[in-house]
Amino acid sequence: MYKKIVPQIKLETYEKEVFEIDLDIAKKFGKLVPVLQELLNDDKPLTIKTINSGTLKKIITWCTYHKGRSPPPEDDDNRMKHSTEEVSSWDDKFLQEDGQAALFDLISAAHTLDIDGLLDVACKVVATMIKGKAPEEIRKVFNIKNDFTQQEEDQVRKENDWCED
Amino acid sequence: MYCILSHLESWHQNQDLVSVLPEEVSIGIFMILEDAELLTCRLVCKTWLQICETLLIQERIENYKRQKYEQYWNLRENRIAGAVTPVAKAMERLAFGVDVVQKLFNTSPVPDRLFASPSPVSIGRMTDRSPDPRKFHQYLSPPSPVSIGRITDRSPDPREFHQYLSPLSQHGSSSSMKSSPVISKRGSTPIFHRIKYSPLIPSRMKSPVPLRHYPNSSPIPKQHISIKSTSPTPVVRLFDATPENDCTGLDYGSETSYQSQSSGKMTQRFYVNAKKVKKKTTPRKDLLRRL
Repeated sequence: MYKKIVPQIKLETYEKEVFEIDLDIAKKFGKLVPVLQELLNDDKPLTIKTINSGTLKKIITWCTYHKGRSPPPEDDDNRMKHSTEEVSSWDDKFLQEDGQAALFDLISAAHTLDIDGLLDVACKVVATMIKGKAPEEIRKVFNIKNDFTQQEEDQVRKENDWCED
Repeated sequence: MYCILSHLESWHQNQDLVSVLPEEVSIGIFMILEDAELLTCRLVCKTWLQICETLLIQERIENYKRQKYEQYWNLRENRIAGAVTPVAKAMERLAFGVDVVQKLFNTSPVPDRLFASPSPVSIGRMTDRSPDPRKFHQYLSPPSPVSIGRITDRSPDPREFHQYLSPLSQHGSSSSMKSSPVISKRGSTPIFHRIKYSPLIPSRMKSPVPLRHYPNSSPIPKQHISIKSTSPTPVVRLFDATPENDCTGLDYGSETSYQSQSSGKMTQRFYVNAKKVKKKTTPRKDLLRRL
């Protein structure tokens, strides 16, 4: 019996932890695609200083789960259609289970590594947190301080006022 | 660790997590939201307002505002669709004209401020009434008086136009307009009467015959009354050339013939210039000889 040998690449995080990633999963990282061949030949890991181990682990888990699925469409119309689709319950639970800070780390990492699918889903989750809420509620959810003066707030309110339903 | 620390730091500095994300990611998040929700996001904080003022988001907000604006105007046009009087048309044109002038004068580089500032344009007495869409509701609330020939300081209320139509023509007004309380209250004075007795209408339009009347003078003898035509072309009258009518000495214009239906006789009809031509009388030679 032969064991199927899967080509792997090595990535090193900020904490000097090395992760071995399957080529199929690594292909989802848009930033790594041009250097994949070099990474396969080279035994040295590629260091990514802006990503921590926890986040990279989550990214690998997400990519493994969505391995067989097609990436989001490139053209604008289909991309917009895709962006309005609902987030699956698995994604929603997976992305929110570690809190907001971890979610935003994941978004930053997905942006750095150019993982379109993960970035889309994570942005949708954040958008869901904003949807249907009043400004005060949004401030509470995201811990935002209202830095408007009364006059500025009145001005923005006035501009919005006539076209609100 | 670096990422966690950076986000925790921003959290403690009261800087929200959406704001610390790269701009394109923040825009991506905002692009998923509905248009109306973008307006809410503008109210959260200054950073979010800045994100909403980036080109892509701004474009969406502007489109949304434009749609709302057009919806309002379509509704307004439908309401006055029945009103076809010249006054209604003029009022409507005036209202749109003000809007066009407003747009021409608005040089603000930021599109969303288009209707925010008060209008610098003044037309006639409509100085303080800029076509700010946020103020449109006021035109629809109480009925405003409209006077003919003079623009009052109120804008034309589309609901009033039907009252001018109601006594003269009913075909244009909808049933909902007929049943509105405004009609029952104000529909008693049709515009026709206002026009008829308006001091602005020239007196010649009131009476078709411009006869002079001097109350202290004696009545003018009938034979002296003559209606003079001021038109450059001579008056043309129809004249039948029958044996009873002496057609001699008339300046004939054109002629036509027709068959009388009653008698079956062929009759020549002349269109004759009214001016009667005097017969040229040459002095008889024999009389001259006698003298």
